[in-house]
Amino acid sequence: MGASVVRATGLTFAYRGGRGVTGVDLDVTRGEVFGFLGPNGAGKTTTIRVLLDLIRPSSGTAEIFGLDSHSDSLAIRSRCGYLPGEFTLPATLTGVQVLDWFSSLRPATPPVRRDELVQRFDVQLDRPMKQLSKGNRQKIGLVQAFQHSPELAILDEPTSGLDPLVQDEFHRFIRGYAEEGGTVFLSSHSLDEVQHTADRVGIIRDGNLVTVESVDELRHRGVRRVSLTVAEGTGPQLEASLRSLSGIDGVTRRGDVFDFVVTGEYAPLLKGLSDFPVLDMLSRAADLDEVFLALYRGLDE
Amino acid sequence: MIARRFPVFAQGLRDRRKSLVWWSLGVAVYIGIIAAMWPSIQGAAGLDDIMSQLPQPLLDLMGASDFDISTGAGYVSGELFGFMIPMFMLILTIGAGAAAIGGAEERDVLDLLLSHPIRRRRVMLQSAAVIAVGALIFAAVVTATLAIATPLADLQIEFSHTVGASFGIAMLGIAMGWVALAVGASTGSRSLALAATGSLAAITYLARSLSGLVDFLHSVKWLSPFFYANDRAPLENGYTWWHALVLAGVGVVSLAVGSILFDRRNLAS
Repeated sequence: MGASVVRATGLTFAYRGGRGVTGVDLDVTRGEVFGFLGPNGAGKTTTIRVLLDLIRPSSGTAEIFGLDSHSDSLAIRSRCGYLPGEFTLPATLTGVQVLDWFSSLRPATPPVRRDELVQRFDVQLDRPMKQLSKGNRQKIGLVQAFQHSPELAILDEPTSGLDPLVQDEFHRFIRGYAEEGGTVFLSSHSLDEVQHTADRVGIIRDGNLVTVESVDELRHRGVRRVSLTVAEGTGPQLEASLRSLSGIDGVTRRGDVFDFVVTGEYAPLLKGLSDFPVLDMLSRAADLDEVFLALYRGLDE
Repeated sequence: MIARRFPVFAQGLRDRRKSLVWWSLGVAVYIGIIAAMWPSIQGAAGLDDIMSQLPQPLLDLMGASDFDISTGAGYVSGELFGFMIPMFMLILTIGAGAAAIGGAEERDVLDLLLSHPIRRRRVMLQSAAVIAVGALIFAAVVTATLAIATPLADLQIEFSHTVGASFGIAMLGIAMGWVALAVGASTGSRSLALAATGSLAAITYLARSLSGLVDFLHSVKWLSPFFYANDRAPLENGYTWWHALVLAGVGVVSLAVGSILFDRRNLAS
């Protein structure tokens, strides 16, 4: 394990109205891509904003590079790059002007990686921001977060608005960035994205960090949603049998058509089905909520 | 270089450059028109008679009671320096003050800015400097235009009085602009900063204008920032320079309080 870059202990921030985060513990080490996964409104952005001292925790502490997130914020921020989830760039400035403006706020760290990033992501530098598409503005945001080669990049939903090809390129880029010793803290609501890029994943929901595990462990859980059709009339009989199988959750039945979530291996399901006249079976990656449901069930047991 | 040492200041000036040019052009034209009318108004017989027949409350409300409108200086004071130019100035500075931090926060600009290694206090001070420079440039344009118009329209205003009166209005603008900056920075709301500072300006203007009529207001007229911008008809008698210190004090105290509140606050996402 490398040195600790981000360490949060019991981090709590309460918004009026109840949102916020409660007792979040995090430990991100150097050279790691840490995926911070959760649905919208779960507390990802809140956590990130505490790390950057934009908001102050009501209790708990956050340390970055071993420095206190509030009292040493200036030193921390000079070594970080940040891409917010929501941001507006000066409408009348061109790409070069925007990147120069952000560089001017970091006089100590020149934009050594700008040219490389601009080429790699095919960034439009000569047009004012108001003429750029959401995706092209997002690319400018990416370049400003990385152009000074920060030790830690904090990215809030970085691929939103990017087309899939650019997303792939970006995923390769942050993998390479971590291999060179950089650390990336990446929030996302896409399980897929996190699985492709992160070494470890923290899952947050309703302001609580549910679990932190490696991507391999997460993949091993292999949460899938399955639709199953059996021969007419055998539905009711199968239903009881399905509900008794381990790793099967959220069973719903409409006549002879079933919908449910499978966690882990398929073997118990296939064994359980072997005596039934299965007509059709469709299986796809579960969406995040279903993963959460499965995770919660797993934690409750 | 300025842009390297004071990036927020440099960027702020660049942002406001265009609007400043247009405002300056507008006020120059406006001053030119008012000045151009003076020779014919001066020549019109009975202007004084008309003015003296108007009821005092009306004159007070027009801001004309302090000025002898039969002289060039009085005319320019009544037509320009009593109301229109301070209003132009305040729209400029209060607008800039409210937009600088409160507006930036509402436009989703502030998070990204403050994720860079720059203290909130520095952002605040450099934004304040943008407002001050804008106000002084605007006042310089007013001074220059009026100085050129004075001999052409035979207004007979002393140059030092023009400088002083413009400077007083610039200081009024800076003070109120910094109040707006402070309200925006401590609340994160541009509209609140505009409303609060705008109302403050309107109320104190009214109180000052009516101070000739209402005894109570007369005894507290020194509370109005307008008193320190144009007491004793500066175009005619010269600006009371120490009044600028009072306005500067109001601005600096607002900045200090606003800066502390801004520093302690959780920014809105």
